[in-house]
Formats: sequence, C-alpha cells, structure tokens
Amino acid sequence: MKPRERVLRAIERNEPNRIPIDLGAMCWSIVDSPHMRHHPYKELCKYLGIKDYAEPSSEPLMYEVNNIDERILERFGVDVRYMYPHFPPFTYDPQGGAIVGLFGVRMKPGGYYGDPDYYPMRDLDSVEAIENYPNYPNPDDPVYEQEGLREEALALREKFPDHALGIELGFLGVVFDLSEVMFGLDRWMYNLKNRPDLWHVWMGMYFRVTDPIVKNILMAVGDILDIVVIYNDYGTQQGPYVSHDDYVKHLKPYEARLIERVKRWAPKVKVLMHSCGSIYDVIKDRAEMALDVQNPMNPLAKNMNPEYLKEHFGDIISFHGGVDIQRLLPFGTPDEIRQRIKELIKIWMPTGGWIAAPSHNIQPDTPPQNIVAMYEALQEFGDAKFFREV
Amino acid sequence: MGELDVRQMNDVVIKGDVTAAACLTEELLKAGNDAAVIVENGLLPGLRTVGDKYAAGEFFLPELFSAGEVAKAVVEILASTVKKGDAIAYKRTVVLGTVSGDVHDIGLNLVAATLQGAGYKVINLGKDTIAEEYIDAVKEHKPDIVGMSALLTATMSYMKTVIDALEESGLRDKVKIIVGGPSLDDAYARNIGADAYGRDAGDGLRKVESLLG
Repeated sequence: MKPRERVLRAIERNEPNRIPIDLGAMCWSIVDSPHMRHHPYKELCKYLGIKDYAEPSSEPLMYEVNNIDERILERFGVDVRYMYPHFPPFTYDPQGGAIVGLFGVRMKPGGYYGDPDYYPMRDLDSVEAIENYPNYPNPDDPVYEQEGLREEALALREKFPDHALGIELGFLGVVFDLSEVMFGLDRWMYNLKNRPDLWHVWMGMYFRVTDPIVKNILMAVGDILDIVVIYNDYGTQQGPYVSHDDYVKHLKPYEARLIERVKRWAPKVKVLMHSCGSIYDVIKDRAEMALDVQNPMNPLAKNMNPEYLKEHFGDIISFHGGVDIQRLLPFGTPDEIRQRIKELIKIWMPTGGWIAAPSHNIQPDTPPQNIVAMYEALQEFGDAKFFREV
Repeated sequence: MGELDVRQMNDVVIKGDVTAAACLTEELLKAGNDAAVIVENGLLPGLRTVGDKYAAGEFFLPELFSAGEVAKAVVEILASTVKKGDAIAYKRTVVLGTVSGDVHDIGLNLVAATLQGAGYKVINLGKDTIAEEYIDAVKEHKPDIVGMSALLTATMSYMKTVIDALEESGLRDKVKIIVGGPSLDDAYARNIGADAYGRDAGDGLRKVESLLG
C-alpha cells in the first residue's frame, strides 16, 4: 500500500496497512525560532547526522519549520507533503517593528511565536467602519490569480507520485484565529455577546473578499491534491470558547461556509481542520458539516484524549495529531513515548480514522531522541501485520 | 442609595453590561457610596459569580471578557475619584508578569483585571518579564503577592529562575508567589517552590485571597 492510499483509507475509516504518519505542516511541525535559545530542529538534524540541511524557514508570523529536510521526512515515514498558495509578500513596518500580512494583520517578531503588536479592527465599533476597513485583500490583485500554482502542484505530484498531497489555505481558510488577531480575543468575544452585528458584518466581508481567491486556488489544484487544510482554534485547555447555543447561532454558519466552499470547488479533496484546545463540544457539528478530519487532539485539554474522542466520535469523523507535545514529548522518556504510541495504535487499529502527528508543533524544549522515538515507534508498531500478530 | 443598589452592580457584572455598569457606578458615587464598598459588595461578588460559573462550564469566554470589561470600566471610574482625594483603600498589592521568553498575556491581563476589580493594587509588568524586573518591582512596590504566568512548556521553567532570584535577593519570604498557565498544575507549582497555582482568573483570585488569609 502506497502512502497516499494509506492516508485516504485511514481518513475513510478503513484499516490502513500502517498507521499513516505526518509532520511538517503549519500546525504539526517543529518550533525553531531564530529569536530564542532552543533550536530543536537544528538539534534534530545534528542528532540524525544531517549536516547540510537548509536553514529552517517559516512563514513570518510563526516559527514552525516549513522546510523540514526530505531525509528526515523519509526516515520518519511521513506520508503527506504540503504546498502553499500564492500570497502577496509580507511587508515590514519599521515604525512599530512589525511584520504586516494579509488583512493588515500585524505581528511583532520575537519569542517562540510571533505576537500581535496591534489589533487593527479592535476599535471599529460600527458596521460602516468594518465595511470601510482599508486593508481587506483585493481579490482582483493579480497575485491572487494563482498563476503557476497548478504547475507547482503538478511538479509536486511528479516528485511524490505515491504520497498524499495537501495545501494549506492560511488566512484564506480560517475565521476564528483571524478574528483574534484582528480584534484581540477579548474584544472578539465581547463583540459576540454585545455587538453580534459587528461580527456578522465582518464575516460577510471576509467571505466576500476571500471566496474568489479560494476559488482560484482550488480550481487550479483541487483535482491534483488530496487534502485541504483549514483552521479554527476554538478551545481553551478547559473548554470551548463559547456556549454551544452561541456556537450554533454565531459561529457554526461560518465554519460551514469554510468547509462547503472547499468541497464546492475541490469536490474530491478531504478537508482537514486544525482546531486547538478542548473542542469536543463541536465535533459532532463539524461532522454534520462533512468535515473529514479533525486536528490536532490536544490530549491534555478537557475531553480531548484520543480514547475519549474515539469512543464518542470515532464513527463520524477521523482525527489527525494526538501525540502530546505538552508533557510527553518534551518531558517523557523514549520508553514512555514508545509505550504511549503502542496505546494509541491499539485505539485506532484496525478501524482506521487516525493520522499520527504531534498534537501541535513540537515545542522548543523537546529532546531530539524523543522525536525520533515517536516516529520510530509509529513505524515499528503501526504496521497492520505487526499489530495483528501482537 | 443604600446597600441594595450596590448589589445591583453584581447583576450588571454578571450580565456584562458596560454601559449600565458605568451609569450605576456614577450614581452610586453620587449617592455617597464608598469606592471600597462598591468594589467589595458589588463588583467583587459579581466577578466571583462569573468566575465560578466559568469554572463550572456555565459561562464561557464572551461572559468572562464582558465581565472583565465591566470591571475595567468601573475601576477606571473609581480610580478617577482617587485624584479627587477620595482614596480607594486598596486591599493589598500584587505584582504580575508573564515570564521571560513568553509573549502571551491574555491570561495575565484577565488575572490583572480580575484582581483590580476585586480591589487589589495591581502592578502589571506585562509579558517577557525577566527576573531582575520582578525583583525591582518587589523592592519598589513591596507587594504581598507576586504572580507569574507562562503559556509554553519551554518558558514555564523560568518561573523557578525568578523564585531562585527572589531567594538570593532575600525577598522570597516577603512575598507569596502564585503561578498560572495551561501547562502548569498544583504539583508543578509546589515543585518550583511557589505558594499556589491558579487554574484561571477566578481561581487565581480565590487563591490570592486564601494566601493572604
């Protein structure tokens, strides 16, 4: 069984010949910030004896490595490769020392993750002000025509004929996290309760400007790729952001639109949504919206351990992630990691429904031997034949 | 206006109604209510209720942040009365900060607003705070409590660095230390020599109050 078939079988909840494995996308890679003292990606390369690796690169708002060395992906048995749409380049505002991206999002470099230095929509308190906000992406900008994107996807398919291929939509595939960096989490939440008119007009504008761009992307690559990645962080460690009633009333319609438009313009792809935190409250809703895969299973968040998720939602949706980055990977021993991987495989074999990956980006204080233990154990114990024999 | 009206503040906080809170605060002050009474009998019970309901899963972030906005609005109005010489008797002083290397301050600011609303003087050192900044703040403000926040596992170990630094400076016994953040728990707090762990803003407030007896 080839990697692509393995991934698709698992997503469709059939037994794969081996648990599919993933690493290297925006929310399941390795954090390696140039601003900090820990450099786990470089340490991993060193540990594996890879000296001529390319300097780690990342999109400028986070510090996850998006160019993990192909020799590592190969050695770890990673079944998926990712590509990115064309966005206008980020600009640098020396005034505030901030990087300015799509929608006028402003992030200050530093630390292990970039941090918003200013929320551009925070003080907009009328429908008109939100409609007239000057920094919406202009779908007529030639960069959004995605010229050459199809050729890039074809080249990736040629290079990896047997792998599953995915594309990350970035800010074109997310409304919750984007609202956080546009308004600030507190103001966004305050508005939901006290000024829902502002939330709904913002969402109307979001889809008005992004629909044509997403259509261009998916019409270009939807028949070549297998997975489209979207995002909506929705939980704290303790529970969902809003009550289920408010979710259904205010948020669910826009999640449905994010998923529906991918399926409309790329009917064959599987939609994978990243959504951090304790989000068990909305998994059934997302399955109803025909979401195929839910990432990342932060196992220490409330009701998010894989055992619980498999039992309650294993029949209606597939999962991606789940190997704990908060305790197990940074502080566990290689033996503890191997043991946990065995337990996880037991949960998801032979039913399928799981693509193994870290439960978010691997954190800076994670020893390289622990990362290697995770991926070796997945390959060693994830094999269907091995699983049956044991 | 009597006691009953101060308790109206409780309902306004629970509803998260900033406009109503501002009007009510002005009216209560005009009617001669003491700022401390407004905080003690109005704002604080309201915030406690909101914190408890959040912890119990009955309230969510919109209700929590709206209550925070109410607290900010009320505290701002009350603070403006200080300038007129009608001083608020702050309960105690708390120094807060997110530790070095960590730039996450949503939780920090929520705790700051909750403590402020509850009548504490809060010195908020903000994010990415190094040990020397905590020490300088302790020397300058003589707080009863030092609170540290961290989101990341990679940065939470710095809390121990700060506690060690306070120890070396001979300041450790002068303050109680409370820590918070999603990757922490009671055991971690004990291990690094903190006095308490606050699970969220409401729990943080309760722990601060119990530490100060």
